[in-house]
Amino acid sequence: MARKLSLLKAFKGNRAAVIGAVVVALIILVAIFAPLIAPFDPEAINLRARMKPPSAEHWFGTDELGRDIVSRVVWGARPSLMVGFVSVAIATVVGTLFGLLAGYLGESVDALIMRVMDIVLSFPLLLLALVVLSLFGQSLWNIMLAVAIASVPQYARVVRASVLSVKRLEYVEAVSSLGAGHARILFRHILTNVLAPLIVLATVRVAAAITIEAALSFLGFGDPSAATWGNIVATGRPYLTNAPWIATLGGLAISVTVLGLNLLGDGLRDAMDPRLKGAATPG
Amino acid sequence: MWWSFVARRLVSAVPTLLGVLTVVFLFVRLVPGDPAQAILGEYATPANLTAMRQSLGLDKPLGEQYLTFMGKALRLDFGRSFQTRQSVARRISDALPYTVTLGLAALFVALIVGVPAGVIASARRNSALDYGVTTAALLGISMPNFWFGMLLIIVFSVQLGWFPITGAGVAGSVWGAAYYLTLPAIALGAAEGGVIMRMTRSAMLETLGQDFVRTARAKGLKPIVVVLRHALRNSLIPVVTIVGLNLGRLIGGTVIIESLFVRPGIGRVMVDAMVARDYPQIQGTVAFFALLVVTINLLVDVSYGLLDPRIRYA
Repeated sequence: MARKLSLLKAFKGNRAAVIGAVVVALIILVAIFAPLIAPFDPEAINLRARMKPPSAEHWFGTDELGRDIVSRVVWGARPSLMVGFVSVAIATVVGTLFGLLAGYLGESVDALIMRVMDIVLSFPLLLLALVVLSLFGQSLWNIMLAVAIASVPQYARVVRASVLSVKRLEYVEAVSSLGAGHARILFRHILTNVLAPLIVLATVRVAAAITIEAALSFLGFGDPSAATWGNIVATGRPYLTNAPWIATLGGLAISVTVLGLNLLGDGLRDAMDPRLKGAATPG
Repeated sequence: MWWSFVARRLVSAVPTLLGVLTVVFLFVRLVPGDPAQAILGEYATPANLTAMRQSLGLDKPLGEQYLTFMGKALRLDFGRSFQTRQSVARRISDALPYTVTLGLAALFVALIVGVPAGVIASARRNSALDYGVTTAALLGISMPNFWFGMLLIIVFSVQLGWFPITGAGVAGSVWGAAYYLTLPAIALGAAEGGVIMRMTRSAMLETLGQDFVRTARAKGLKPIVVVLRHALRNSLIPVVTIVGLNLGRLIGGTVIIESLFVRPGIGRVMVDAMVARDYPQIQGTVAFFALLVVTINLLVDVSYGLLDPRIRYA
């Protein structure tokens, strides 16, 4: 309990982290209450109001089909955040399992798992995602899967390093000699000790996942049926010269969300484990 | 000592390389259903399908396919592109100079902005200047590079007319190339500049607190000499590490920036090949990028010994 309180204190003392937490909370609220916040139906086509510049009615103008940009970006928070959170959830579970196994079992299992992770890490994340999409088709689910696959090694490495640093400690030996099984030691005693770096990593990886989905959409490999922020920016691309507002707000939404997540991640890291400074960068 | 480390590091890269090529080999085999059908579409004649399977090498036993593929891949032979009938390697080597110049220019932008900004922020810790620079760095890291590139185009090309919107200029003219390269390099380098700034700042803060810096100050050296000669030199290793680790992301970023600014680099080749389901070209390009990353990681590892003589390789 005392530890939790001091954590909270350390976090509160970090102004940037609090700002980050507030920003992230606001964006999540926008996603939840999108139907109440959006002034228009995000899909309502109005050909009479095509590519209208920002006005009192349409704060950030309308797109090439006359749809209200603000409403689209508000609703876009839903699929964009979903990509971020789901892909991170998959990568965290799979990566943590690999990391635990590699660190705990050691020797040949460790060597094999980490070699495979090295191979995956050799492919630039974006390219790996592109290949997965070209093989299995463009859908939001495949995007999440692709981003997750490419992120697994990062988790495996972080978890493995933490496991290696705690598994020789006395308390692990103690519970082992008390008769605790491997599974109990791994999940009950070791996993709880690698949670701090894991949470920090997951926070910044949500940001990375959102950015990568946006980049894939921008390149034309997004899910055309999901109006993510990246998709909204991509629709504005051909109209940069005559209707630059179309691409503006979507990109701003991505930047603010990523900024919030990065501030939050930095703050969590400093509060939980100062030794990790600089360990996690997004992308 | 150093040489034996280099030799061992080289040997350890071999399984990674073979693994990378194996994954690339599996790509086409992982296409659900028949890759030939996927390429030619549903109205393909049986004769065309057979010919396509033959040209992909899919008509032979899997083991033989694998050995043939690996044998050729090790000689950087990935067959011919379906789109252009040119050799895959040829298309990559034609596009390579554009991508290399873009990558180096972006790295240059990131370094000349990131390192001095980090030094200034650390020397004036907790000042308004420090907060300003740190915030700018975080913005650079958080903005998607294609969106930042779009903003640059809107402001500097559309509104001010200072730079061209797209293209890569005429070959052979240095100024012409720089004119076309400026905006793409800034768009691609911004995030890296932010990362480098943050790394430089935190490494500098650590070094500035050490005894030898206090000694240098006590000797009466000018603050600027202490910061640049004594502290900066000893802060560069983490900076080099982070640059090396992030080069893969920078390389991936060229795909987006080349697409945005319509530059004929390897990223462009990749996207075109993806649209056309040109599998040999996709395989070759992805393999090339991955080999590049493996090589860069190798170079980063072995360069530590040259940067810091204290590092011992046991």
